[in-house]
Amino acid sequence: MKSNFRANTLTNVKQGKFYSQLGKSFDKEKTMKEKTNLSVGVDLGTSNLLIYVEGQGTLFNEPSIIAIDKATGNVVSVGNEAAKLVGKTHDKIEVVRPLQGGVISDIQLIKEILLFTLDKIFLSNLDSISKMLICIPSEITNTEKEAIVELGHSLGIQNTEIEEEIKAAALGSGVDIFAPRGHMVIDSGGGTTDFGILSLGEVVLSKSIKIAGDFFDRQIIDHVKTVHKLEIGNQTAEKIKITLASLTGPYPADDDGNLLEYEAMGRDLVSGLPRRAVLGTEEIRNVLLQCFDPIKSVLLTTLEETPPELAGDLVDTGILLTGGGSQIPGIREYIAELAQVPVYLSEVPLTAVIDGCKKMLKMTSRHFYSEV
Amino acid sequence: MNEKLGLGIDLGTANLLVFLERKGIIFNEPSVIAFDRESGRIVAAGEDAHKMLGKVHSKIAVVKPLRNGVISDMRAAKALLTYVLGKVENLTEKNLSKTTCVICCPSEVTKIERDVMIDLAAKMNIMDVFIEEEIKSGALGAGVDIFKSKGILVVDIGGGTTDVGVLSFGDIVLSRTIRKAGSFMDDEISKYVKKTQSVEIGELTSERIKIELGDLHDHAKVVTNKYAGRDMVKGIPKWVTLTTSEISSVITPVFDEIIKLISAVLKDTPPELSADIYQHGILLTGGCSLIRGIEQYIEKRIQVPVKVVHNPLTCVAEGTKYLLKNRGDYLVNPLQL
Repeated sequence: MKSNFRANTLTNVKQGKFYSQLGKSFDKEKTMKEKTNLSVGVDLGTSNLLIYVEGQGTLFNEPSIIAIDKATGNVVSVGNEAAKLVGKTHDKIEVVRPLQGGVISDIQLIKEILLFTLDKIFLSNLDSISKMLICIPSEITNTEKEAIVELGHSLGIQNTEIEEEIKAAALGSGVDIFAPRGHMVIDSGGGTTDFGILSLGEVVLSKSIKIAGDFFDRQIIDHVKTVHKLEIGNQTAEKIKITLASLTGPYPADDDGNLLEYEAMGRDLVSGLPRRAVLGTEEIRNVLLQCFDPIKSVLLTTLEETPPELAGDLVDTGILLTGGGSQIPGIREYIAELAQVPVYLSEVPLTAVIDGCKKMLKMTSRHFYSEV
Repeated sequence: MNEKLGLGIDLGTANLLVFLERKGIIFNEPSVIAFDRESGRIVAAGEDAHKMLGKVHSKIAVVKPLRNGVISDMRAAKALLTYVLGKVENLTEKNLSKTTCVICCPSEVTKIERDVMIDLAAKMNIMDVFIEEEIKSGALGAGVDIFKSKGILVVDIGGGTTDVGVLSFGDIVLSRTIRKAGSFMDDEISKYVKKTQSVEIGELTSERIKIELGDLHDHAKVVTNKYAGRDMVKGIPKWVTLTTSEISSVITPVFDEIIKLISAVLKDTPPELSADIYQHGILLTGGCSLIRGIEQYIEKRIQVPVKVVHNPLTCVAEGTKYLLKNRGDYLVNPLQL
């Protein structure tokens, strides 16, 4: 048998054409086998991009920022590396957030960012992906939705599905949304704050406002500019927010009880020289409270439009806060006072959506709580 | 299975009960059905679908096939019945075509409304159908011998309609209907809460309020309970506190109208039968006869003893058992068969 095989190969080597054909068919078989295996979940958030691969966990969790070489159009870097470049590049590189404000500004860039990250996590063989679930912000238009499904198809993934982030976030935070009971989720992310009422495994009503993390940063920049006459960058503003932010209750303090302060470095508006300014917790709270006024009114309109039976359920089930914004100290008390219902914080605010994505990939039925 | 199967259907506004010969009552759940809007598939029926009322997203439609005692949505009614019969083992379509079916309806329904019910059965492939009035079936199901020449007054307060009828010698002497019953009270309760507390509550909640707080006793024990709804002014979820006295002030006007109806029927009753009724009293059936204190309330106003039957919710379906035996013929007493 063995000798026979060898003899065969020998003749095949001679007939080079046949041999290469054999190789091709082997390759094909291999990809066919992989194709049945992988499902991928993508959280296409404004500020962060998360990718989950079935069986391998969340492989990518980095800012959804892409840096492109202007001249060639090549991707320079994506994610953390690109985030570091924000405000620090020379003019040969362009740093873009393709999902600015929760809308798709450039579908081609999203394709690039997806291809680049999939390559980064060693999934360059797109044929091996059998199913892709993309989570998107609530108030995305139908055309944009179609564009994303189209994008999936152009990547060669026929089974591309789209779900609302708010639903995934609720699932990922461990809410049983499949019972006939109303739940409310507020997902305060980077670009948008989404409000959703869920029941029977589907979104009953959702609203979105383009005021979230990025907006807070911009307001902080404006504040420092007007009050301290100092121009600071996005990254500094974000750090200020993370250190000093609070909405109600005692101001954030260190272990000894001293109120926290932050030394912000930037450029003096008048002299143009680098300078530092010390920021306190109180001024940042005032900035944030102003930002939260519109959030407050959207929350109230959402509750107003909720069907009464579901609104009644909220008294019991409460409101779930998730997303980066839910980490602001005092936000829980702030919302609870407003809505007069219990408010809970998600245990996994930053990964709730992708966790929910994971759960949805495993599910076959879509919105029934009891299949007949 | 060569024999003809007997099928009794109590197609009520609130609950659907199906009686199958040799099997008993095979279905006793709210007549609500939930569809998937896109595919038209049934998502849930009965109890499960009832829980979904007012709580669904736009992909599911929750439908009540009946309104005020008559079929308002044929497609949904058919789907619900198909679903129920589909759950029965060993019941093929062939069996269905050999089935005798009795459908119970409120007393004062028009010919067209009755035809719709026959039509429904025809759509299920059941050709041998007859319609009977709920009060007759209810009295039979409660174990009353209606085949004597003795007058019996039956009051059936259900979900969509209240029927009042006088039975004697195996059939109905006269009967009246008003389309005010359980669901009307629910509506009144939610209107009341909206008006006095500016809180909007859902269908399910108002039904629960009626069941938990409805009490017609003169000096009822005051029970206070909290219910959740939505504040109409501020828009936020809110608890409302309701007491038994408030709720009885809402539902008594409905019962007063029922009493008016009973008096009207009594006025038209032949005197010989009136005498029987005065002796033997009034029989109460239907879901709303479970409201506390209803016996005393009616007794005090009509001055005739009132008795709630032992099985107010299922008596109509149980009565179909006898109706199937005599096909509604008053000369044949199925109790003696």
